[in-house]
Amino acid sequence: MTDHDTTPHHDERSCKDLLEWLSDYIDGDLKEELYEKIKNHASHCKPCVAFIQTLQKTAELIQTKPGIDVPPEAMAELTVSLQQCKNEMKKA
Amino acid sequence: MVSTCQDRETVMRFQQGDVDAFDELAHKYSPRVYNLGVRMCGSHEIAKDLMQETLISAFRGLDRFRGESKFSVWLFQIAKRNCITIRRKDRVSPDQLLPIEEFIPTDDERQTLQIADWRNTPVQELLNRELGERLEGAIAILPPDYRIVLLLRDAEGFTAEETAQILDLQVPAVKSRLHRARLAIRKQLHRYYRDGEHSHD
Repeated sequence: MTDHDTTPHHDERSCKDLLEWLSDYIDGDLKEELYEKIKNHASHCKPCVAFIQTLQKTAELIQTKPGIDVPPEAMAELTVSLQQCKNEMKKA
Repeated sequence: MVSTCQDRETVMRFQQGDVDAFDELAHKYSPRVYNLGVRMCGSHEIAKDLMQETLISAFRGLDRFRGESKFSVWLFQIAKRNCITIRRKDRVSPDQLLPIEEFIPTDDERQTLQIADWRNTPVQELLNRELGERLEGAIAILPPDYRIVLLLRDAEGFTAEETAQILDLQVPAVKSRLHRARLAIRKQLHRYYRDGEHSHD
């Protein structure tokens, strides 16, 4: 990998080992030691930075995507059913 | 959270005899239950039934709700139970596993990752109709056990702890499934952008 740092500290296996923790990393849900380990690895591994960025973007897209509209007739049916329940409850 | 306090207050009014207070909860949560239904059961018709059954069960059971969890968590527990019943009836395919090894990027992917301009593009610019459909398609093919975790965590915004409570799972299992689900979606989106399948407008 040409984009990898060639210092003796860099271990390509780390990319695979750290893969498991990347969602916790982007969610800010990691213990400091592991967080720093990933941060440090990413500082000299461009493919991992890109991977983390695309994973983060994926989560953001799902979080931001608007929901599916409920058809008005489904809401109308629900309103009728709830009204029946209320009437039953008032009678009881 | 403001909405949690509001829900608590609305539930209290209902429990004190104001049955119309339930309309506020139904108005707020029925679209969310409907969305879960469409994405978990793959049909608007079934989602409509799921929404109806869940909200009616909640109405009937709300007197017994003691507030040990948030109202939304309690409601989605009911939705999940209904969802399981529906999926059993429909004999959906057995649940699959997503091993982490499937998501280790190949050398080719590592090379193309760095030219992936979508990683730096604002979400609002990316989210057009085409990508929306692509995302829905990618979510739809996730194994159900992973899909429901992704939907509750990322689409519905429940915390890992709340999701674990809704699904009766341990928190590490929620985190593991969420991660694999995101990885699977990311893989699809990467292919979509890498192969230039998206329209350039």
